[in-house]
Amino acid sequence: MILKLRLLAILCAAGFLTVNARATTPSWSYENPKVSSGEFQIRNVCMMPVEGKLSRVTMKGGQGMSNESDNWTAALESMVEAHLKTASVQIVQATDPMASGASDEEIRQVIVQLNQKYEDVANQLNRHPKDIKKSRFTLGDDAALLPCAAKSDVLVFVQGEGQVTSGGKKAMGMLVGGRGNVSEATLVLTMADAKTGEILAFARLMNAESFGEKFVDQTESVYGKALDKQFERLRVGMYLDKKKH
Amino acid sequence: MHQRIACLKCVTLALVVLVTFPGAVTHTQEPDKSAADFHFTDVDNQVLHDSNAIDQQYLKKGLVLQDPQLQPYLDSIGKRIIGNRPIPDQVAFKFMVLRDPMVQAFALPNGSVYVTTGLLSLLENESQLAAVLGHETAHVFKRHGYLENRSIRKKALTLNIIQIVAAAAPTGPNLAQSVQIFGAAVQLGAAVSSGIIVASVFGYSREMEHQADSDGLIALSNASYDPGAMARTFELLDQDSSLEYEPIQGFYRDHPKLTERREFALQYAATHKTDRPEADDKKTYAENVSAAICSEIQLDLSSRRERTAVDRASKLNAMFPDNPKYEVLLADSYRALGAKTKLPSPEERTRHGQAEHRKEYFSMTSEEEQKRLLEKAEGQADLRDNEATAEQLYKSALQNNPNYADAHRGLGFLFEQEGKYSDAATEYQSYLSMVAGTSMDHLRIERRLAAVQKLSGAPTHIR
Repeated sequence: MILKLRLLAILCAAGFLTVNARATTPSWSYENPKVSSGEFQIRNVCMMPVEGKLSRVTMKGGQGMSNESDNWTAALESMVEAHLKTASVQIVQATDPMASGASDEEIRQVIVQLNQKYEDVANQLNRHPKDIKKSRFTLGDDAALLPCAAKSDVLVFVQGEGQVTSGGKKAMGMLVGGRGNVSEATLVLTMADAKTGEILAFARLMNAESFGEKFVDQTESVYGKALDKQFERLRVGMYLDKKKH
Repeated sequence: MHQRIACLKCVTLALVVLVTFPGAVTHTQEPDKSAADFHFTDVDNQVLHDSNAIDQQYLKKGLVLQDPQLQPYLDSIGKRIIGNRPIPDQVAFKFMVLRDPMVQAFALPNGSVYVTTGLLSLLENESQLAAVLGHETAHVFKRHGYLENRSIRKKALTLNIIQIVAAAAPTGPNLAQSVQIFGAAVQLGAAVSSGIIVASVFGYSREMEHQADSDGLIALSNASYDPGAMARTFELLDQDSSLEYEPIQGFYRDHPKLTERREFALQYAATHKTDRPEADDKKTYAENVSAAICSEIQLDLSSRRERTAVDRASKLNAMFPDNPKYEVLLADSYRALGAKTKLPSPEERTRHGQAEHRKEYFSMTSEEEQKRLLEKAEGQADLRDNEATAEQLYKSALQNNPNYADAHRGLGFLFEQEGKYSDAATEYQSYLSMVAGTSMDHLRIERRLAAVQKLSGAPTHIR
């Protein structure tokens, strides 16, 4: 009996350690050689509207998290911008007319068109991000229609998607196995040449937590380090002046 | 023996679970289903809250098209369709246009009715738009959003229970797997937002759709529109679905079958004739929704729907042949068509052809798709034809209006695509001299001009 209890305690401890080990944020990035070689420098960026989607999965099905999604989107936007600024990158918003004389409605139409094009390219990009090296993906030079493009090196697309799993659903996930026993979120950053539309860099940051959902309200602690790591890898801003690893 | 124990275990577990979650199978907690005396629960309040949040999101993301001619037109049709009916509690009807090439319309439970630019471009007249609004407003009047959300939640809970029981059953792994896959489909849809949003966009139950059709027809008659317009709308939806491969299909397409819905509408229309000829005028409709059609053509060109772009621009151009804007849009669409045919070939329409198209859509970029088509002689011939049509249209637009800058830009793109760099440079220069730095596009064209001049060997000279 005592042996069984000890075994249970060891298993619990192992489980706890595993969970904590998984709480880190693995991240990957892929870039065109033009970026890694420094031939294409990323010092000025145009931020496309950030998209953050959170949903809750409970025993009673999916539920919207509209308020949380709004807050998360804002948090992701300010976090990415703060890290870009730390890397000495100048930021302009895609919605900024920048004395171009373009109306809000015209800019909105171009943003929707570029998002459409991005969604289309994302079908292949998400599955074969390595092909960025071969210059396989492009949004076309419609990218240059945005007034911000004139003063930017790249357009930055930021998309976050998270699934918050309720306690009951996690417990059920443990019972039946499968992936239902964690809350998880993925943050994707894509950089496209602001003049030609060619996709030059792609970074994916993932986070899965068995207990809690830190990614919802502690974005900085969850993604901050990984983001810096990827900006350094992609030689964004001041990292360009550092020696290549 | 083992099997009996496992079976017993399974039954016991099922009983335990069902006692723990009684709402899954009993109707004790089920609220009143009648729309008339609908009572808001916490779950419904959440749905209402989500609906308002979605409205905000659409606005914030710039998806709502705001046009000074289209908006009052849409509002007036919506108002006529609602008529004097009492507005349900917590509903404020708003009619909006979404920039979205997907042929779709949906109503949120808070009364926000969205019609996509894709659908507006497909419809032919005001009566058909009124038919769509009649159907959508019926979902709101009947509280379908709230009721469907409750139903989805109940089904999801039941599925979860089956999943637990299945995991403990003798045939556990296989059954659990199959239920999980089914459950995943429900969950995936529901995870987008609350159940209502999924139902609003992807369709309600067969009964609810039928009821909305039926109420929509009555609303059409009461507003003096021809109920036959609903049948024609279903016909248009059915024809259009064969034009392109669509990664997501909206509920209008297949739920329930369009042919059944069309028959039903025709039966109703046969006994309810209304005389409102002005609502069937195609030209007036196209004039009022032209902003949506132009936006739609641009979106089609950005989302690999060149055939649809050609179709929509052709209709617009046929109706207003003297308008250079529409002529240039049609030329742009032909240019974007590249090596594709204007209509899908009979082979593409087969089941195998559609499967191939689907595979290509997800595995190839549009540039790769064009390259593959150009490997065949037919593809090269189609490219030549489409380019010739585009050139003719650009030139015709310039003949009618020599100062129409966009036609010069389009010709420049076309000549550059054909490798006629010096001709392209001339057209780009004409464009730039006409827009004089006022266009959103002047920087792009300046860069293109520099590039083609370099390729043609001419000295680089930007204004």
